[in-house]
Amino acid sequence: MEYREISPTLKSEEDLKLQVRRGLSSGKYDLPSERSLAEKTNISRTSIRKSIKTLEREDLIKKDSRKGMEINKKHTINLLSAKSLSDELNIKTDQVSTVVLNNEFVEGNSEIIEFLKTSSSIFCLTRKRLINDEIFSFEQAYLNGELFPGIEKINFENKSLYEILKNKYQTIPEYGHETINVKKSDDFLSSMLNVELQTPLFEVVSKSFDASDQPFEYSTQYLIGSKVNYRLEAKNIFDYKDDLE
Amino acid sequence: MNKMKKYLFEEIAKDITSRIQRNEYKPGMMIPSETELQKLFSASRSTVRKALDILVNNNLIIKKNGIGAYVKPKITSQNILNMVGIIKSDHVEGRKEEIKEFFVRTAGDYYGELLNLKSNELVYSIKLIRIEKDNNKVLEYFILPLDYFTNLKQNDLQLITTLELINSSTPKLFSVVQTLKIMNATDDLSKHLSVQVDAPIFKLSSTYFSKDGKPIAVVRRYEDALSTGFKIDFS
Repeated sequence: MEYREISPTLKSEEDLKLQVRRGLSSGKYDLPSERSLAEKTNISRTSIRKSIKTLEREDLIKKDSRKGMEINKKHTINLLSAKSLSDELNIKTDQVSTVVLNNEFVEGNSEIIEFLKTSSSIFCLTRKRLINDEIFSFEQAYLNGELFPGIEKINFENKSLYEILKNKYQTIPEYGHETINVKKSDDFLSSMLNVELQTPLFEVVSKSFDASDQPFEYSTQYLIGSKVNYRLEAKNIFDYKDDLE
Repeated sequence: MNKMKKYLFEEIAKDITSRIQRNEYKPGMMIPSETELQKLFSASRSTVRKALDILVNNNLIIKKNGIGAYVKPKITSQNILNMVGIIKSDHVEGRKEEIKEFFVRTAGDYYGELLNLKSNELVYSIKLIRIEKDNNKVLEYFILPLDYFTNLKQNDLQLITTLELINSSTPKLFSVVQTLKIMNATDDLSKHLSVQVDAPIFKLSSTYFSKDGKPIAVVRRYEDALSTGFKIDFS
């Protein structure tokens, strides 16, 4: 088995990643300049420049002409829980607000109609979410109006949809399926999210079921890719005791 | 008391079976070649073959023409697809793999911290490209501590999926923490994945842990973000 020394560029990359990792956990987001990094370590300026470029492409650091280099702080969303986005975002340190753009009955498309099992009563709640006054996501939640009479009269501004469904309609999401894709923003989404055209976005389509296996929500969310990490933790991934065959 | 006469090929099959059960021969790993087995058991070629046939019938090994036989992995992609909670790519893992790099290195400070190793402890560094059924390329990058993955051979990588590979660790894997993010293709990635530089890429980083919380393996998976998606089941 071949043994290899780590190249200077790779070492410089890994050192920077370690700094980013420590910075994120300690809350210190600024990084030393390219020159001081070269002076502190024995690594050439060229290698350091290459590794900085790599970390920029990985969206781990960003360069600001005034502030210099700093760690890109992203929002982490935990998957696997049927929690609403409102619950997921860290409201302890960030100012989260929800702006309602629209709440009305719509026609829906064939996929929504098929999932919600209704064509006449599709309620759509369109919202934008901001974190610290910066736009974070654009979302449309489609619900079966027959299950939630009077929903069009509710004021959803700065409220959690799931809270309202729980308190007013005794509906809790029990399980569901999510797909995550990447889409480059078109004119509409670029203006909704205040980003340049063709910015990579996370497109998350979520289908939720309640405790009696009734499909009740179909939602589409667009999140700005460079601002979000999805995180998942799973235990007992290989069940050794059960015979899987 | 009369002892029942045991045939040699049955004895050999029994011996190999118990080695598999004791994890001496691990899932996804090659068992000794027919020639080696003949020497080991002082048996003829046909006797060894009969023994291997028993093992194939009992679903314990898989024979691959020209390569040899390996212990059948207990986990298949199908089972993984049904498990709740793992972030899995849309594509079922393809069978064509190209190993780009496979060497031993020191863990260094960064992976030392991620894997709870000293910087000078040794790890395997493996980079491979999988070509999935619809011709999409996936780059996988493994950092595997030597201590937990004894006897890893180049051949093994071509026969098994990622999950089977990392499942060959000692201690066994119990849990995983995964992070999914979008990044822009670096020069290296654009070359390996056949995309433009700066094209959006999915990066799925996984750290696997043993039951007592020790990090065992670090895996990074990169693929073209515009031609793939991820499915998650939540509850």
